[in-house]
Amino acid sequence: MNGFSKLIIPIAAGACVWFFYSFKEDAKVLADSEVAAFESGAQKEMPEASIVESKTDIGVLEESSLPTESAMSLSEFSELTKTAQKKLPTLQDFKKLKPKEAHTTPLLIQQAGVELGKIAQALHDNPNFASEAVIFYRDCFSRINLPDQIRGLCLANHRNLRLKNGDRAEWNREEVEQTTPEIQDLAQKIPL
Amino acid sequence: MFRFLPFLFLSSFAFAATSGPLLNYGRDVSTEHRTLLNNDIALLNAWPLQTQIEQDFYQVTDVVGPVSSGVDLLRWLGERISIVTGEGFDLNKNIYTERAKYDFQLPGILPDLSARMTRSAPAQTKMSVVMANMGPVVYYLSKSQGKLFGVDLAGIGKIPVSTPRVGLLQIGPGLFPALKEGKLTDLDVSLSRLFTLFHEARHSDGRGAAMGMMHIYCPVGHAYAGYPACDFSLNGAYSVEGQIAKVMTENCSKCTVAQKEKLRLSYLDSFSRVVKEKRKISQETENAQREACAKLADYPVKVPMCEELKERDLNPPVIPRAPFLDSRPEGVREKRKGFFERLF
Repeated sequence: MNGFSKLIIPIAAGACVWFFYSFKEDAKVLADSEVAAFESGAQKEMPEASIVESKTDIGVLEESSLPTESAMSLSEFSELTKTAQKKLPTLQDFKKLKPKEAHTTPLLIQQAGVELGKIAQALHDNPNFASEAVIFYRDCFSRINLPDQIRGLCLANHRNLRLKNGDRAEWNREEVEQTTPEIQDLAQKIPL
Repeated sequence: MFRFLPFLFLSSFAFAATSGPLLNYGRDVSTEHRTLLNNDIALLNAWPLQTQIEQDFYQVTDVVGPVSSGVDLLRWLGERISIVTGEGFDLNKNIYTERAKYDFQLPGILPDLSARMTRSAPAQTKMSVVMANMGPVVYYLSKSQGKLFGVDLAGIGKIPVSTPRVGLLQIGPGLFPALKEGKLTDLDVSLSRLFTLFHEARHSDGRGAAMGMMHIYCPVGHAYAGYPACDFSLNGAYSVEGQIAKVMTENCSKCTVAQKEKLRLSYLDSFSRVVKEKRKISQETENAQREACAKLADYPVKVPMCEELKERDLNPPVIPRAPFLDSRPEGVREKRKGFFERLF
């Protein structure tokens, strides 16, 4: 072997090792992410009860257990809606936010999403809860002390239930009278 | 065989040099946070987009259409963010002068910060950082002084910030709330982080007075009144975040109904921060005033509020409406001068 080959072989070997190592790391990341995506998807069962604790001062996100489809009764669903009503954040709660919390989706909106998610899931699993859900959504969009985004989502759900029931009007009288054009605009962003 | 080896070496090197990751991390970003963000990016890369996307999505986001998968969104993201540093990064300590004099694009034209909030260095409060785009901040400082500043990042090196599109993000624990049972990898939590990435990436856009696509203080009566957490533009960071979040949420085939509902509230939250008109008083308040004045019309009293309404009817005020800002980026990426370039 001449001098040039003695130099180039270890350099080439080193480059190959480095290249394949970085490729393997990327592949591992992709593989892990695919697993994560499937594990957290629809195949997952209803979330178990877990109280989460934050190590920083940004608060706690709670997720409590839901009865399964066969176990939930109408009275349990009614209790669920009453609990959600109490837990939805009011405009007053927003005044207590720190500036950095307000810049991104704050924890109190994330928590409200969890509560509304429980209702949506229970309703999806038990369509016969629709009449109770309509009452909840109507109360929600009518409450002037709730923020527009929550009222908008409740309005959208109320409208969708009404349309599923055969009503063809885009908005009914109480939906128009109890909300503002801004809230209606938000509600229209939710697909039918 | 020995003739083949140089070719193998050069081709391996060339391939490795061109196929880099989307995000380059500073040394102060933990392995756990890197893994989570890389997984989020991989999730986006594989995201199918099957439902029809409305035209205003393209108008607001500047995503080149038609999009058919997350790869198209990833491309948009990659043009705007590239470097991630941790909460410990101190802008005041890590900033340096790359060039004492520099010719900036649109000289002298900068955003008016009197009514807006900058994405200031996050170290001033005790609150945990979620995510901040430092590029426009450094660029603003540079341009206002006519010098080219850069940032020196451990693990990455010196980066001249000749354009906000340098894409320098600072992340903190606020982006990763400590949750039990590995919920940081839940689909809806991962998507929420991605939406925040898109929001911050948008701050890399904008030129002249629109540089950085800065926020405004939310008006009186708004849920976030008094906070610098709104946009007076139709294509700002909150609009982009809302549009991206909506498209991804409605295409989330693996989301449960509960997760989808939570994500819907999240994107409505983004849309709710777009201030479409700057009114002195809200339409609701004005309607209530008119109702009250109609009832008082029969009484021989002059109510200042009603006089103002009459005056407004005679001379209707011009109500400023939110525009589409010029979202084209400002500046070009400059490479750091090499040793010999500095000598001569």
